[in-house]
Amino acid sequence: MDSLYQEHILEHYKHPHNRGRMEYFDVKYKGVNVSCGDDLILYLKWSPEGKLGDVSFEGFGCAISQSGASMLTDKIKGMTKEEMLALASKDMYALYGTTVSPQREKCALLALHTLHEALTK
Amino acid sequence: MIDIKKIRKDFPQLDKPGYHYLDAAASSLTPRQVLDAVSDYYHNYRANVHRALFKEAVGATEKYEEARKKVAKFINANSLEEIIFTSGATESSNILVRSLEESNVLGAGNIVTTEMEHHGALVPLQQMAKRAKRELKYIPLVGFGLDYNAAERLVTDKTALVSVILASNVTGTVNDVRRIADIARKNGAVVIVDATAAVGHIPVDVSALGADALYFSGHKTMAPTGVGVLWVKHALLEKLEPSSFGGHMISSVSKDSAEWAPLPERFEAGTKNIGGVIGLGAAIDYLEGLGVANIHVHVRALTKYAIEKLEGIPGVRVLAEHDVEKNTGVVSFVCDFAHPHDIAEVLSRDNVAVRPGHHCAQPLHSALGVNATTRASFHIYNTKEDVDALVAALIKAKEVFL
Repeated sequence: MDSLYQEHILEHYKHPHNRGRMEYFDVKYKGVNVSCGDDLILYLKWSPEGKLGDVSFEGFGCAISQSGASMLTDKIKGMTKEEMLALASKDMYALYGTTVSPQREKCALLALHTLHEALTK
Repeated sequence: MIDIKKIRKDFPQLDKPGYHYLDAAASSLTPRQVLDAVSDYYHNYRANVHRALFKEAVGATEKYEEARKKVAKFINANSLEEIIFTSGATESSNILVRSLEESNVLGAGNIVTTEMEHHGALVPLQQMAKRAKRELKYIPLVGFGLDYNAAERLVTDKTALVSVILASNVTGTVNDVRRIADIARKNGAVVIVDATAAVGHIPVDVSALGADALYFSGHKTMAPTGVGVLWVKHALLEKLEPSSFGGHMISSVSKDSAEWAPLPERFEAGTKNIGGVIGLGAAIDYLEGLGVANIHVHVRALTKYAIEKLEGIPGVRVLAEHDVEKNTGVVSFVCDFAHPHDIAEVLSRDNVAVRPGHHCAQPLHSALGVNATTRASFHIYNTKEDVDALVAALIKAKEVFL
């Protein structure tokens, strides 16, 4: 199979990290992939130092959006709000280890866009 | 007996070896005969239609009006005045709904449609219902078809308008539109039919259906993109006010007002897609040359084969009309091992072109209890080899995701 469905992406898809609803959270935000109607709910909880203490996600989606949420939630733990807002598309593609076709951009960036909306709205 | 091998040579896109185009329901491929007709217009008699007197303009007008005759005959319209060229089914639907709303031809009361509608039919109705404060009611599904008993209950003498899709672009189901039209007529309601997914797959006869208005797109009937048809029964059409204004649709204009051109020009504002209309005429020639009924015989054999093969793969659930006599050649499915977008992406690596998503029919997907499906859809140029390639690629995809 090609670079999009490489082993680490499929591994995150089949066994996602940080998946599940959070009981006590500071922020809950639902992002929607307008190209297919899939959604992603992010839960954020701040640590006493004002960093991201815990994060989880829920939702139904394709391997690209789900593995992206798994990898991104791993990456942002312990980050400040500013550090998270500074993350860009290229950081997501670095996690995937590949870029995607224009048709799948919204899938690949769903978790990041949802995070940014959760932090600013 | 139709020689599919020979027919496939008419479609340049199929020249690529090992390529399997299973997306006819999104857009059908275009045969050379249509491409040639369009190319002939752009090369040899490129001019605007009507009025101008030079040779090319006369030629273009003749071809344009010839296409109108072909469409009228193809759907068994009563007169040429009933055929309006549009940019596609969505524009047809918008023009029609606006004109109905603004012409005071509808009685008071609600609108009834179905859970099966394409967004192109549904959203204009929703907007009209909101503006006019009319209730919008839905005939529900039973299995992959419509609940006709519910239709009997929902359509009453309080119903002004009934809009129903002739064939589903997701499940392939051909609805008994005549039955719903009869219920509507009994109650004095106007009947709209969205025939977009049906035309070219099953014979469509506007009077046999009992419709007051019907529309479809050219690009799903082997014509170019950007052209479509709106048919409205003469008795209704002559009462309708146009909803799109400008050149071509007027007979005279003063500083204060304008008078409308006769039918059907009154509803064809601006310069239409002339090359597209000429292509549509050629596409109808092509379809009639094969015979639409013959096309369906071929397609339904493929549909049956595809349903059997797909249901043979554990984890695949087919969401399509299983009675292939009543299926236009559309087989949607879900897989418990992967999301439709992943399926379609992996299949595309094996040159199997299918479509993932809600196919512009979200209420239908909700009724089926899914977010999205993967859809394989067939036309005359498809073969069993295409289905075999689909199945092989799907089994491969299963190995990736399981």
